[in-house]
Amino acid sequence: MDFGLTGSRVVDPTRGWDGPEEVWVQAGQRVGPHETTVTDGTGWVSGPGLVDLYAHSGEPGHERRETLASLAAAAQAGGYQRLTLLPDTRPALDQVNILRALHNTWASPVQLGLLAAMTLGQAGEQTVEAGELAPWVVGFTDAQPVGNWRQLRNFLEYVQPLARPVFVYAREGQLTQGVAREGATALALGLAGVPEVAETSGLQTLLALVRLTGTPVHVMRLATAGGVYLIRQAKQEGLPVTASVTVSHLIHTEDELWSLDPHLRFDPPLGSNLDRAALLAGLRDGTVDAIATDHTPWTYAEKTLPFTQTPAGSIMLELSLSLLWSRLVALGDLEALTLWTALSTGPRRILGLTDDTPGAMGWVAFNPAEPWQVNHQNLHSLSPATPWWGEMLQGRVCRMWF
Amino acid sequence: MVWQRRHILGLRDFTPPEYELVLRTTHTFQGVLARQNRKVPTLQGKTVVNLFFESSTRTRSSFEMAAKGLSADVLNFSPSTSSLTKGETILDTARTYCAMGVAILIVRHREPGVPHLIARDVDAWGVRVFNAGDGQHEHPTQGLLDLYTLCHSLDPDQPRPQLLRGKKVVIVGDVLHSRVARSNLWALQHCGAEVHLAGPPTLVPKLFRELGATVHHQLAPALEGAHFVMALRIQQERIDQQLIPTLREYHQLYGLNHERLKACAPGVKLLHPGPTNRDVEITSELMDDPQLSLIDRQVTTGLASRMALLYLLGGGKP
Repeated sequence: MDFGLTGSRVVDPTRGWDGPEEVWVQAGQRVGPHETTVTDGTGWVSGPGLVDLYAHSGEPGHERRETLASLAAAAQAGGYQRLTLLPDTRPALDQVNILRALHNTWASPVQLGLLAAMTLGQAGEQTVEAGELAPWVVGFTDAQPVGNWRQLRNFLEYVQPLARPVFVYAREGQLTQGVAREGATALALGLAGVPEVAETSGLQTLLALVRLTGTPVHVMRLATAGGVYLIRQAKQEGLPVTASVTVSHLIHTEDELWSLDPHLRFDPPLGSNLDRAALLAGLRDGTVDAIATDHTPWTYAEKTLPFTQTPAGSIMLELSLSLLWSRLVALGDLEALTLWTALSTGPRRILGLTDDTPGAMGWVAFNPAEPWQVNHQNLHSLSPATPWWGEMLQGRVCRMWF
Repeated sequence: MVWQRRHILGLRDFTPPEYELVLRTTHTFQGVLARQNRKVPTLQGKTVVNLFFESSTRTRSSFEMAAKGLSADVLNFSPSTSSLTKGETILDTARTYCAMGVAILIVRHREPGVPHLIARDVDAWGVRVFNAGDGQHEHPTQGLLDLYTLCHSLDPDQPRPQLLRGKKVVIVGDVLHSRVARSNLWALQHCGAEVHLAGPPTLVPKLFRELGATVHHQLAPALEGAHFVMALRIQQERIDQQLIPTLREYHQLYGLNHERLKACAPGVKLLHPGPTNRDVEITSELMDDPQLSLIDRQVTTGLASRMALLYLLGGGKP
């Protein structure tokens, strides 16, 4: 890696720096000006490459939704230097041969991390051979509401010597049935509601298990104000807990559900303005460590079902920086440095990555003024599953250095 | 006022001038229905499709008669014999009809938002969409016909929304699962009525207060001084979902009868969107009491009201 970038606003969480600066990199290290290819980045914002904590892949099993190639291209176009795949492929990521095959198939400068399933087929019953899988993965997760707390408790004990975090979608399985957050909006729309306690009661049980076992846990898809409060308390107590929120839960709220657009179906369901404000406050004070894309590709046919029947989630890798910058940073709701931390060094710490040089993290340049339309011509993802389809967005990644 | 709305999907965003125009037009069609020749040529040469993904007798028949009364050709879609069983998407089904050149789609589905989904998709074709009931969300034509029924009972010569100002309307029963209750809640509140909801807390959550209603979990205070009482159907399913213990206990606590209605205002009228479970939400004697019940009236009005709405959406000039 050898380049120069002049004129850009540098947002660099590794040094806590946000301001105009020239970037000179030689052999992966920040150095002074030297003879190299120089790019004029006037008007751009640049910083370390982004790291995604969890995204869904269509391949293997559902290549009509997304292939590994289209996923990698989407990640690169979105400014991501590293991608972490969820295990819910078909077959699930629960055997070494599948993990090996995925690593061998991967052909992209974007780095690939895998999350292995915690139980076979993510069914919540039989535990995977975690010891054998550990060298191939960055962590373990079933990424589903918890249905079997005893299995989870035993797993947290068992994986302790393996030094891999366990990602938990901390929701009480039985209280989670519903398609929208319980509240006046869901009530008026006739949608079955999921109460906030589905998250808070799940979190309380999980935190008690962390206290019991001492195993580091990452709480994924944090979505409620009550959940943010519990994580904040747990961190003050010194529990080895980290947390992430998805881009969608920072951008959308239940107020948009009046259209009943199936693309606004998310799991967990979108919360209120108060939840969104609490999640942003959690990012600012470090309670929430990372922002994940939870990129979820579906085909056109899968997303043109009724709101209640369509599967949850939307594509995000190519939209995230544009949405977060134009809707949070540009409006003053979030500091640029806080955002970039939650998109780069924050997730890196969770994944146990400590090398913060440009050589290890990559470098990305983003033009916050560039308008573009969300459509098939502009997206690399195969899936049209996004509420932003056809919309004009502002801000686009213009350059990546690996 | 000139009618602007392209689709009738719900009453939550309806405006007072729209209610006024709908009531006036409905009143005109009541007159048409009283004539010897009940047909008008407004939709001649146009096709109306009843796209009922969920079965229905009264709403479908009512729409069919209304469309025929406006001289439209009517197609009835029945899901069991359709290509839906072959896995066609809802939008593809709707588009097939659009490609055949239909003018109006009347959509009912057991899930909320399906008419909205279809309306967004077919709008570019110039096709108009009616929501004839989407899950537990809205049933706007029922809300509008109920509105007319109430206003008509207050002034048969000039039914108008202002008549409802300050009137107490009580909706009793399974409000949580009722699209009719939601559409009525919006329409009645927009016209200035006080809406009270009554039933067990599992079927009438207090959260309805946030939508502007007064919530009661005991029947007596709810009925006190009421000008109109609307009963809703209770389904066996609610027992299976552990929301109420038995229909027997429901009837004991919330069933409507002559005795209980004595607490209401003099001249109180009773409504029920049907179908009715006699002796569960309402006693047989009460249901058949012509002094109190507007239930038959609702069905008659449904026809005039749907003719009016088809007329307005079909571009007719009053």
